[in-house]
Amino acid sequence: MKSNNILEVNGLKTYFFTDNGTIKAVDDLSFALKEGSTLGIVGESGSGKSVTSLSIMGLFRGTTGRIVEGEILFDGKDLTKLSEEERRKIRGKDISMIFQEPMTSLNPVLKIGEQVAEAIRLHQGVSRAEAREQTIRILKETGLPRVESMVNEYPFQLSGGQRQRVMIAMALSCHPKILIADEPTTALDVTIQAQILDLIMRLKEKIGMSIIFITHSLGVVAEICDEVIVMYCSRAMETGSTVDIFKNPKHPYTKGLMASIPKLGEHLDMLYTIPGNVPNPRHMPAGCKFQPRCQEAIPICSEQEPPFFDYGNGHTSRCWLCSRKYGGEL
Amino acid sequence: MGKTLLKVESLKEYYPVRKGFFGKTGYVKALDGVSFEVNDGEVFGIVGESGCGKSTLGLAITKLIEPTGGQIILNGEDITHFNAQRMRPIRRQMQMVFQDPYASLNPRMSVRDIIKEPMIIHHLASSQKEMNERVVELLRQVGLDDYHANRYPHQFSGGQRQRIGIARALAVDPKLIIADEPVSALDVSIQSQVLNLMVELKRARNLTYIFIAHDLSVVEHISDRVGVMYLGNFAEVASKEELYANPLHPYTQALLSAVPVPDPEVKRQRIILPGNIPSPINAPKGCKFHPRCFKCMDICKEVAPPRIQVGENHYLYCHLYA
Repeated sequence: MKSNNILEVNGLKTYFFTDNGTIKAVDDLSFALKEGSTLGIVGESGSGKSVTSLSIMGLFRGTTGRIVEGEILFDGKDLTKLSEEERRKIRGKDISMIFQEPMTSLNPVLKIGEQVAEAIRLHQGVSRAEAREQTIRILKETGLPRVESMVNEYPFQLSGGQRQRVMIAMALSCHPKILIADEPTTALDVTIQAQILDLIMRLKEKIGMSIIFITHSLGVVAEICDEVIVMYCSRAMETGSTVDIFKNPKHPYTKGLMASIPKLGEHLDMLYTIPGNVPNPRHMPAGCKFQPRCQEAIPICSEQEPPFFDYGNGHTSRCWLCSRKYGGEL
Repeated sequence: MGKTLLKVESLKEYYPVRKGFFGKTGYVKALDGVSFEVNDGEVFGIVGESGCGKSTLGLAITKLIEPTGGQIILNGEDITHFNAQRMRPIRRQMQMVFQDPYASLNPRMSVRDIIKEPMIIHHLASSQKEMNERVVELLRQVGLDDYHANRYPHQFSGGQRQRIGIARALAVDPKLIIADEPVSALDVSIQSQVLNLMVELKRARNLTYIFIAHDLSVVEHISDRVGVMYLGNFAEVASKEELYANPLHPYTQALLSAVPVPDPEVKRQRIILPGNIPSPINAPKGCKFHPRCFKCMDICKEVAPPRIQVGENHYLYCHLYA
């Protein structure tokens, strides 16, 4: 493990074993999270980005999903090999997570203060009074108003943006090394989204943590991420620094995504579209998974899945067109 | 651009709420005196955050809810007080497309029946054969295939369902389509497909759209004119070129600056608004935006701003420009 990588995922395969067959939700995914950096994972629904985060957290109880292959290296340990007990010590303390739906991810019958204090008491073994003090301090740090009374309120009494701040307070209460944020601003309005992004990035600097930011919004990625993984059909299609991905995308899927979003101030008559739909996970196409929708596809694309072509500086693309053999540069 | 198709005059929609069992009745002022016009053949975009009243506006115009006050004039005819029976022929002129393609199609009806229903209600075909032919024609126009007619909504993806919803709206050959967040539930690559379809259909059938959405980039792309709503009324209305290049209302400025730009080399100065949208039950006095406004003056706390015309196609409600 290189010294400046805080997390390394190698050849991760997470499958769900349903009555109707196996769903390969994450298939052979590898990436590294550099210490202090923000890594964005973008993709459309069903691309496997959320399952990636659940794999790192080890949150599969009650589902048919499990990690069938690969390793997740954190702090010299392979998380996939740890017992549930050992994972629990890491979860919420060293690695914590915030979810998309602040409405459903808070317990509706527990007071705000108790929910935030739970993680603090569990991981730091402090007294109730001390936990309460810490809770109030961290809630204030997230910019919530009238914190002293809010700790005695229930989630339904707060707005969406306030609930997301409570989630952030919970996740950061033990000063984690890694924060996984799964679509934390998707359910929020733009002005509230701006507040929450601002808050996350401010606290990141303060605590000195690294972030995995999962989103479908390319705009959010461009604003806050250092590096990006573009996922499609359970795999990474392109990886690289944010500037490389946005300014010099190599994969036709990445290019298509960029072109199909309307941008402020750009007055186009028609938008670019990627034809067709995401394939059914039970009937994955042969070869490259994007090939049936790709307008640049060549015969080999439907025969053999392309390897990653490395442009250097972490910029890789899984597309045959990158190969010199098929007119590419590598 | 043509003549005025729809004129809305100080439209109000108040919902009564009782505070406590014996408490006195208060009102949620979902729409508080909204006025605007939509010209024949244009796309009028309405943007705003949740709770600003944009969906209520769509429902009130189509009279799916009864307005509390004000006027709705369609094609010169005041339809504000039309009952259900008199509204029926009016609905042939305006149709709605809804946000959630999962909830707005009846799961127990085949696509054929879904698209046929409005034709039956409005007696638009003389025979079953003619009706079935029109269903196929509509399916093709929205980019689906003939054989899709026999399927049920659950067999379609979100983007395809939204196409079915559009086909249903087109079945009565309307003039005006009110689309309430038609692409916000869709993935990026599907969103652009549906947006392009709407642009194509508008041209082919000379439609007029009221396009309601929260995504400022989407609204800019599709609209000719845009109105920004905040807490039950417009803050600013202008042609899209004016509004996006030269936003005057502080709320519009903040909203535009909050949109994340998909370009890592653009680092903008964001205006971060404090607080949340206030509850419409206890809307602030004076200008409703003043508690969050970064240019708030004393008068804003007391007096609701009047409508101020700043250009031929540009007006706003703000004391700064009085």
